[in-house]
Amino acid sequence: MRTTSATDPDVAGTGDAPVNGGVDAYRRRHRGRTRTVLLLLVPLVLASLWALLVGGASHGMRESWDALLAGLTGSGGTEVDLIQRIVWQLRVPRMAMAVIGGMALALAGMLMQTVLRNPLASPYTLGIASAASFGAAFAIILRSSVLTIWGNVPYDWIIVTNAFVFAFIATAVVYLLARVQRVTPETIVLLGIAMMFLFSALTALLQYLGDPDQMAELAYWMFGSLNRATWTKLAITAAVGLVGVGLASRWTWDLNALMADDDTARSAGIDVSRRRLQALALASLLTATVVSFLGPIGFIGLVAPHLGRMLVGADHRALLPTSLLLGAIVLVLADIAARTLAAPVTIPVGILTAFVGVPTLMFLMMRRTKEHW
Amino acid sequence: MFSMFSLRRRRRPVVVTLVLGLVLAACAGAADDAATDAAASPQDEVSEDALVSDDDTNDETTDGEASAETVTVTDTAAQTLEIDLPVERVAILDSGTADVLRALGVLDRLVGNHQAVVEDSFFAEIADVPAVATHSEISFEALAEAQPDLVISSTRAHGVVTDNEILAGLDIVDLKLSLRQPELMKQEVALLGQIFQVEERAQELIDFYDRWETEIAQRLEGVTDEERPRVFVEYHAGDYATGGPGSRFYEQVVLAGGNNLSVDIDGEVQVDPEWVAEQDPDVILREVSASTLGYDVTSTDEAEQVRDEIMSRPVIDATTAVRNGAVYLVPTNIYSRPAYIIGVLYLAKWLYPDRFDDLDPDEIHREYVETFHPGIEHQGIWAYPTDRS
Repeated sequence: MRTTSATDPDVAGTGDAPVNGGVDAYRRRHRGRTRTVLLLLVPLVLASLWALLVGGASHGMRESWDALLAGLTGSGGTEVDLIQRIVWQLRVPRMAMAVIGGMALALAGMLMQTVLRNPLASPYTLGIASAASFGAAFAIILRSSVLTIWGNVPYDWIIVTNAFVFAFIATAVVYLLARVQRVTPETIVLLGIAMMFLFSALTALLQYLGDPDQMAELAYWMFGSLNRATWTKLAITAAVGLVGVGLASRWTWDLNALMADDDTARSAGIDVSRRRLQALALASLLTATVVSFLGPIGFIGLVAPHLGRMLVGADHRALLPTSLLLGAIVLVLADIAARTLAAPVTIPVGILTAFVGVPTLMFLMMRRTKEHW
Repeated sequence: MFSMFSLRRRRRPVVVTLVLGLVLAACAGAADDAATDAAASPQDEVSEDALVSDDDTNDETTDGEASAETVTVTDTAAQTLEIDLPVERVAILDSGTADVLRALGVLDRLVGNHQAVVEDSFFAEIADVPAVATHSEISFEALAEAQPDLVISSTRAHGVVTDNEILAGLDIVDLKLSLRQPELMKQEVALLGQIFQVEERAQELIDFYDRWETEIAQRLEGVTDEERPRVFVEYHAGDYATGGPGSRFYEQVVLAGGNNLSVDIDGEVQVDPEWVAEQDPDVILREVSASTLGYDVTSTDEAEQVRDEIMSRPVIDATTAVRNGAVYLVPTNIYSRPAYIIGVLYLAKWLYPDRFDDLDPDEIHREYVETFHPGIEHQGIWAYPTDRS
C-alpha cells in the first residue's frame, strides 16, 4: 500500500534534503498516499449505503433500496409510503450525521494531538465533554430555572444550547488562560484536565441533587446517540464542519511544522502561539457542536488520527483527509451495529465506537512497520 | 440556582456523617454478626389471626417485653426475612415508599426519612424526620442513630442496599420492595399490611385498586384484542426509552385496555425510532417526572414543551398517534408508583373516551388522596392534555 523507505521524511519540513532519487521516492510515496485516501472512500461509501438499508424497521434491504431510489427520483405518488419516510427522514440524516460527526470529531482530535504534540489528546482533552455534559445536566435537572433564561425554546434545543454554551465557556477559559500565560502544550493539557475535573464535579453535584427520573435522562444523554439527528442539526454541523475542513486544509504545512517542535515552526515563519490557539479554538468549536447535538461520543477523535498516521504517516496533507474518512467510517459502522445488533432495541453508539475502533487500532498496530508518534 | 445552593447547604451534614458513618458502621458490622445469627434462628410463624389487630393498639406495644411474635416473609427480591412484631420504627431508603406508608396510616412510625421526601411539600408532616438516605447515598451513621427495626429499600437502581453486612451489624432488617409495578403492588401492599399489622387498611388500598381495575375491565367487556389501541410508552429517560413486560412501564397499558407496543421488548431500553414509526402506535404515552406534572405544578408550559417535542419528531409525526393528537403525559407518581391506578384511569379514558365519558380521573384521584392521604389537599396538574388544561 505504501512504501516504507527509511530515507523518506516522515514529517515534511524537518529540513532533510532529499538525496539521490529522493524526489522520485517522495513522489511515489505521495501518489501512494493519494491512492490510500481514494481507496478509503470505498469502505465509506459502502458503509454509508449499508447504513441506509438496515435498521429497526422490519423492511428488507431490497425494499429500503427501492425506497431510497424512489425518494431520489421523486416518484412514489402523492402518498409517500412509510419505508420511504423512514429512509429519507430518519436514516439519511442519521447516516449523514454519523459521517459528518465522525469527520468533525476526527478533525478535532487530529488538531488537538498535533498542536498539543500529545498522542493522548482527543477532542475532549480541554474538558469539552464534561462541560457539555454539565450543560445538559443543567438543562435536565434545573430545567425550570433554565427555561426562564431561554424563553420558549423546544425542549431538545434547551439541552443543545446549554451543552454548547458550557462547552464554549470551558474552551474560553482554557483559551484565555493560555493566552495570558506563555503557551506550552503541557500547560494547555493541564488546564484542560483541570476544567474536565471541575465540570465533572459540577455535574456530579447536580446528579446528587437531581431525582432519579432526571438522572436517568442525563445518563442516556451522556451515552451519546445518533437518535437525535435531524436535518436542521445536520445542516448546522455540516456548516461548522466545512469551515473546519477549509481552515485546517490551509494549515497543513503549519501543522506539520508544529508537530515537529516550536522552534522548527518558528524558523519556518509561523506564529506558533497564535496558530496553536486558533487550532484549539477550531477543534473546540467542532467538538462543542457535535457533542451538543449527539452527546459525548467517545473514542473516535482519539483513534481516527492514529489510524490515519499508521496508514499514511504524519504529513497533514494526507493525514487530514485520511483521518476524516476514518472517523466517518468508524462512526457509521458503530451506528449500524448500535441499530441492528439488538433491533429494535438501540445500543448507545458511544458504547460501540470503542468496540469498532479498538480492534482496528490493534490490527494496525500489529502490522505497523515504524513509529509515527 | 438559588435553590441549588440552599440544597447543597442542607446536605452538607449528610455527606459528613456519611463518611464517618461508613467507617464506624463497618466496625460495628463485625461485632454484631453473632446477634444476627441468633435472630435468624427459625421460630414459629404466627397464625393469620394473631396478626389481625387494630391500628390504635399498635402504638402502645412498645415496651421491651412485648410479645415475641415473629413473622417469616418473602420480599420482592426473594429474600426470606424474619421480622419481629410489632414493627414500631421504620426507615425508608427509597423516596416512593412514603406514599404507601401514609396510605397504610403508619407514617408516624417513620424514624428514618429520605432526603427527597424531606424536601417534598406533599409530605410536610414528616419533614422533620431526619433523612438517612438520598437518591445516591445511604447514611449508615444516621441509620444507626435512627435505630429502625426495619428499612424498606428498593429492588430498583436507587434506594438499593448492597451493604447488607452493615445493616445486619446494626440489627436492622432490610425489606426490598419494588412498589413500582402494578402486577406486584397488591402483594407488596398486603405484605406491608402484615408487617405493620394493619391488614385492614392494606386491604382497603388493595380494594381500591381492584375496584377500579374491575370497573375498567367491565367497561371494556367485548373489546377484542385487535380492537385495543396500540400504545407506545416512553418513560422519563426520554428519547424512545421504553420498557417491556416486567418493567415499570408495561402493565399499566394492559390494565387500561391497550396493547403495549413493547410486548416483545426485554427490560428497560432505548428503541429505534423507525421501529416505533413502523409499529404506528395509536397512542403515545410519555411518563414525565414530578417537575413537569404533579403536586407542585401550576402551569402546563413544561408539559406542553415535552409534548410538542415528541409530536415534531421526524416520521413519528406521521404516526396515527400524532396525527390524532393522541400524545399524552402522566407523571411517575401516578403511573409507576402506588398511585398507579390513577394513571391507568387517565389512560383508559384517553384510549376509550366514549366508554369512560362519565368517569373523571381527577375526581377519583381526589377520592384517593382524601382516603389514603388524609389531611392533604388534592392540588397540582397531573395529566396533560386534559379537558381542563
